[in-house]
Amino acid sequence: MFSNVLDSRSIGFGDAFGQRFMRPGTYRYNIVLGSTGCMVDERPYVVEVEKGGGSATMEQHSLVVHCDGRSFTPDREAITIREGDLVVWACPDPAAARFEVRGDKEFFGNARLTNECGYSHAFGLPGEYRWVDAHHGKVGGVVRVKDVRTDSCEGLERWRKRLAKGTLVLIADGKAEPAEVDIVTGQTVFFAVVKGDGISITDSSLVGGAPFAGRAKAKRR
Amino acid sequence: MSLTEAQSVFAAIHEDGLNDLLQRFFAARPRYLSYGSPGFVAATTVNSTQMSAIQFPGIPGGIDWSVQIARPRVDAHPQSAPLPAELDPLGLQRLSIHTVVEICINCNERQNRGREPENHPHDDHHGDKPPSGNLRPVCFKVEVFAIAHAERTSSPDGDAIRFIVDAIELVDLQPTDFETLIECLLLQILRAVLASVRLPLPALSAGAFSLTPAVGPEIENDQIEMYGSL
Amino acid sequence: MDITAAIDEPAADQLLDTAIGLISLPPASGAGTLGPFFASYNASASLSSGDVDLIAPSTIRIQDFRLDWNLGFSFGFDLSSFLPDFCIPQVCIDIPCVGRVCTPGFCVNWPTVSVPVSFSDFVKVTADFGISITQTGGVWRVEAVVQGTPNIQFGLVTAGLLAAISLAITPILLAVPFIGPLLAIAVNAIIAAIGIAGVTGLLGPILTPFVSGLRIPIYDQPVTFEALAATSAIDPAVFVTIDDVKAIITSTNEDELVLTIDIS
Repeated sequence: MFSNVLDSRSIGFGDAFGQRFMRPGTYRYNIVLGSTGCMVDERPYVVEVEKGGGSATMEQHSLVVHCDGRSFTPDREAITIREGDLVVWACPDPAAARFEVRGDKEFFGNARLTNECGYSHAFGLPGEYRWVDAHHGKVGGVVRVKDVRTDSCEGLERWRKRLAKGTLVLIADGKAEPAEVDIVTGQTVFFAVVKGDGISITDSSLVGGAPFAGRAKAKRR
Repeated sequence: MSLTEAQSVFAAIHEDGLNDLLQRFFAARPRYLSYGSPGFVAATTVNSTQMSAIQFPGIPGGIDWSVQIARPRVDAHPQSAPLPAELDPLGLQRLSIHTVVEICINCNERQNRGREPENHPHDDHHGDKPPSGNLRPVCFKVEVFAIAHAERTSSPDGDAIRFIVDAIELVDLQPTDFETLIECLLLQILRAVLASVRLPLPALSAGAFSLTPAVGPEIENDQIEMYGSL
Repeated sequence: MDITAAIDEPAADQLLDTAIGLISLPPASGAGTLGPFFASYNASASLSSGDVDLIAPSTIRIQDFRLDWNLGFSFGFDLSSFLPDFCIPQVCIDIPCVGRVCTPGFCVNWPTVSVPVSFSDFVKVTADFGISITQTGGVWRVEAVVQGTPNIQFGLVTAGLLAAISLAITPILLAVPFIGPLLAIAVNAIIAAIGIAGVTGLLGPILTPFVSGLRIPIYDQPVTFEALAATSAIDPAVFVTIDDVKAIITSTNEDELVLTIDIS
């Protein structure tokens, strides 16, 4: 059975990692087994960023990652985009291992979400997810996922429609907004990092440290 | 009519089975049929039971004697085996016992048995074999019929039955007074011997079912019957 | 015959109750079918009393004796067989000052899951027993031996086991991501696929061997039977030889189980 883990450090089934490229240049990267990026020097894949034509519209380029055992390849080994565009990596194979996009620039990669990037996660199981920055930053938040129980076709249809509606969490300057969100099973939350100092979006149960409790404390007051 | 009648469990041993059981009993424990004073039985063993000599003034060590009883055969009511006229017919709830008894006394007139260890240090006196040196047994064998009833008792193996001799008759013994004397003697001996033979109920049923006795033993139909519950 | 021993019907009931209670049934394990699924199982069982009916000349009918059983089994299934393919659609979000970002849609391949089930219950069985007399290994044995294959009526047991399966499935499916509202549909579909026939199809072959071939000891004594135990060196044990054993059920004014034994 595929895992459904909230952890931006490795991208799994139901997740996506997106990175904007704000300056022209050649950006090389690799796709490796999750959390092993720092052990791999090769950067076989390329994102070529051309100078933009003055258009203010961001274009999205989606890359499908294929997994062959422990080897990952994007469906296009090199792409050319314009400055300000977004590239999104996702793997649709539920049997695939979790992967990491490792770029040749500090800002480029999902191990540490820095600037103009994002991580989306479809929550497959109900529960309260307290997420933290596994790199010891102070940012964190809560995602409450409520199960939907229905035995009618109408209820099922309503649920499926809700799945198309995402929830945005904006992270900037060490704060998440909103810090707490409520969704139903199967819905997707997109964590957009506007500016950060290399954070992660990680389920607190995976890192052992104190879970995020800022807003919860505020509530108790 | 059911076998168990008003009870739940019935166990009976036919006279043939009882004779088989008694044969096995006396074969395994012959001492119950063999008694004698030290002159005849040096020590009590599985084969013989040592008893005291008959004490009499002027006879050092007393008069040595022995009694050997042949393995008895029983006949439960109704009567199947012939009996002397005095005991015939076999009564209700009775069984007859037929055996032969041999009574011996030592006729050594010198009676020096008490000094034997000093004078005859190499004599063989060990075990249950009678001393061989100075023993002059004089024996007398008589055929005996007895009538007995059964009663319930206890034994190391639980509930048991034993036989109590009620009457005895000797065959062809004269004169009458002598017969009466020997009958009196043997009645007591046989009564004691048979009363000491206790047959546990599981032995009487060869271990078939457990029996907590309530009624019996009853002697009828050529067998001994017990009734009770599990 | 040298020895005759008999017990009436209430005593036979008491005797066989005790004997049944002492029977140690060996545990069983194996594989069977649970409706469309294969199940591997471990089972243990114990017996307790029933009502004895002695039927001349050689039948012991035990009515409603109880077979208590514990059954642990697991079965696996491909959830895709019960749930249609399911896809999370593309999700698009407008990010202020940035623009519209869309995550790719993806389709869920439902996994194959394994469900362990543990269930205990009892059934009541009525069976006819014949009388077997054997002398093997120097031991005489009289046993009541079940005739044929007893028909076990499962009755409410099936509903109970289906409920147990449902209870066992639920937490396992709850751990399947994205199943959400499809859980109830999946559970109902699986239970329907198993059905009562599936439960009896599993239980029958597992439980029937516990009672078919059942032997209840009635008499068990060595050929060389110790009639009196030894009490001392001069009073050794007394043995008799059991030459023959017969058993029959007689019916007069009451029904009795009668053993006749020859000794020498």
